[in-house]
Amino acid sequence: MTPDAPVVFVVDDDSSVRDSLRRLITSVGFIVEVFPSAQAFMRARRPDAPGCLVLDVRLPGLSGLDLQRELADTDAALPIIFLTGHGDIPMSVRAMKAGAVEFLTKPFREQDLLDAIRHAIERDRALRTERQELSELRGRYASLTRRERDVLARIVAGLLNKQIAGELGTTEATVKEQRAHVMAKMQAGSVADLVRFAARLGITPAGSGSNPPKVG
Amino acid sequence: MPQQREAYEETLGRLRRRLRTLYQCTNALFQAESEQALLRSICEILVAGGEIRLAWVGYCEDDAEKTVRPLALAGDGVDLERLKASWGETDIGQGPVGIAARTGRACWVDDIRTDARMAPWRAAALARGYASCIAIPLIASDATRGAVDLRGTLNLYAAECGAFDESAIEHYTGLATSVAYAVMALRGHLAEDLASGVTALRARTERKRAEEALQQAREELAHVTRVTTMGELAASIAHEINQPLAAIGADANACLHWLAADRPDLDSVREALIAIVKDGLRAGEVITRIRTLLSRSSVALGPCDLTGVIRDVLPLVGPEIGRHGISLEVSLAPNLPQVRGDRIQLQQVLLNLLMNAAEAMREVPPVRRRMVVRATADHRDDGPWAIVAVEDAGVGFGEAEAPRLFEAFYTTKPGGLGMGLSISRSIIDNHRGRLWATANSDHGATFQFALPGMP
Repeated sequence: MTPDAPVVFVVDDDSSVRDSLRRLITSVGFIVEVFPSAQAFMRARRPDAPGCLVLDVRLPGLSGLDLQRELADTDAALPIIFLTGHGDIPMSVRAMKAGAVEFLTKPFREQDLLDAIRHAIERDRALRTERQELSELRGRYASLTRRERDVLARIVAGLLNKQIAGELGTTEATVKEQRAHVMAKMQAGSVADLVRFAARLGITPAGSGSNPPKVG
Repeated sequence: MPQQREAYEETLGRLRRRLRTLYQCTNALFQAESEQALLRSICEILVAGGEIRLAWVGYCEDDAEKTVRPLALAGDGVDLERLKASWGETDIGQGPVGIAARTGRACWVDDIRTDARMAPWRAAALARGYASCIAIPLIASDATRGAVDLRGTLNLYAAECGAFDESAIEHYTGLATSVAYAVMALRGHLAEDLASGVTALRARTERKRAEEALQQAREELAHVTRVTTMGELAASIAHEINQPLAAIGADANACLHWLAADRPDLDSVREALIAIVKDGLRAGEVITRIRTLLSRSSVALGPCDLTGVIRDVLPLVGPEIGRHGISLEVSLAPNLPQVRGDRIQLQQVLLNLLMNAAEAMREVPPVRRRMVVRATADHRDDGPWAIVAVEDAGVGFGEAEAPRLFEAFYTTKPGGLGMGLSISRSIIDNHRGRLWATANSDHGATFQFALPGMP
């Protein structure tokens, strides 16, 4: 298997359902890992690959919704497809609001589940790319010196080198040099790139006596 | 004066005999158990007294001949059947018997040899040595109804002429009045006894009918409660059926995918098919359990395995327990004695105890929500008993509540009917067992029932 092969995680306390889901999802070519409880899933080491979670809402101990909340708090969030034995509307609303991909009632249509899984994996792939880019950006931003970060915040605020020098109490030549470092370290081809990066990093543009920017 | 003295002594002796006779008759009046026995006793006592040779009692019949039918007789050599008398206006109705019966007054013959009224019986009477006779009416009538309830005569025969003088007539008339009164009292008692017997019988029938109706009502109520409980469990039960159905659907689709491949993975197909068969059975079992519990069958006592009862109920109520975040522990002793019982009713009791326990823990912190179902055997002096206990860590009950727990319509639940424990207790009582509750030392309560094991 390539490291990028998607993995479907199934958490269900009912062994019949759990095993049948394993067989069904395996039969269409996915790698499947099954767990009898939310705790067992949380304890397991997960492969670094795109994936999704097929989760029974009613689980003994930590419920499906609890697991969803806990996962959301980590940086390893997974798209979740909820399964439920009965159409519990308030529960499905809560699950969807918390970002569930799909909420299926047992017995479900096989196609609905497989479509949801494919959709969830695509979403995870995109999320993972995004997360990877973000973590790269964070790495680049982390490599900036304090003064370079101050300069960056003022560039994205649209200040000219002269204005920045005035605000930071230095010379225009120094700012010009620092600006070149920022662009290089952040791997930004243009100010427009830098503005986009800053937005993704959640950096507030600074200028005219405002506080130093913070990383979001 | 010795003659006079003799006469006095004779009179005294006669009075003493009459007194003794009267005393014996009075005893007989009180002791008689039947009319026939009473009349016979009186006749025998009179004859045994010595003055009377023959005594008989006849009742007047309302037939065409107006027969006086002899009922009782004492005295030598006379058959009851051979006594012929009538109270009609015919020849044989003109004797003392007929006259006394018709007039209601005593009629006596001082000398049978000469008295014309005795003509039809003279020869027979003389042959038996009777010289005089008397017929005393035995008459009782009900003034309020204006009807004669008793019309008959007490007939006495003596060996001497003129035996029935004024004092004798008074004596025997008084006796006859007492006899008539006793006969009526006896008849009254009988009627009363009969009436009370009928009343008792009717009361018993009615009680039996009421008990049957109560039993039927109880069974219906139990059925309604079962249906209600099942209604409360509907979501859990639907889940319990949907689980295997979902698994079957998933496995069937997996098979289709595998079979569509160029080189089908037959091992996996076989594995999925085996699972499908198993899940099909599982769904069927759930439905069978529900249908059994919902059935309106009448109580059928038979050998019953409580472990089986527990295993029947847990799959139905287990998911509901899990939904409340309760951890369930089940401990079943291997040597549980078989009991004699109705499986459905015992399932109902257990279902009720489990639902109550789950309900009791709704308001307690999730970490405390723990339930234990324990089946144990207890070997007592009168044999083995099976005990099933449901232990919860819920809100429990206070001392004040304890006596009311099993009362009908007593409930602490907002939507409760208050019938569950009351029905459960009556079911266990009918099984000759016991259902009781104890407060746990830390949290919650334990409800348990004990049933005698089958010999």
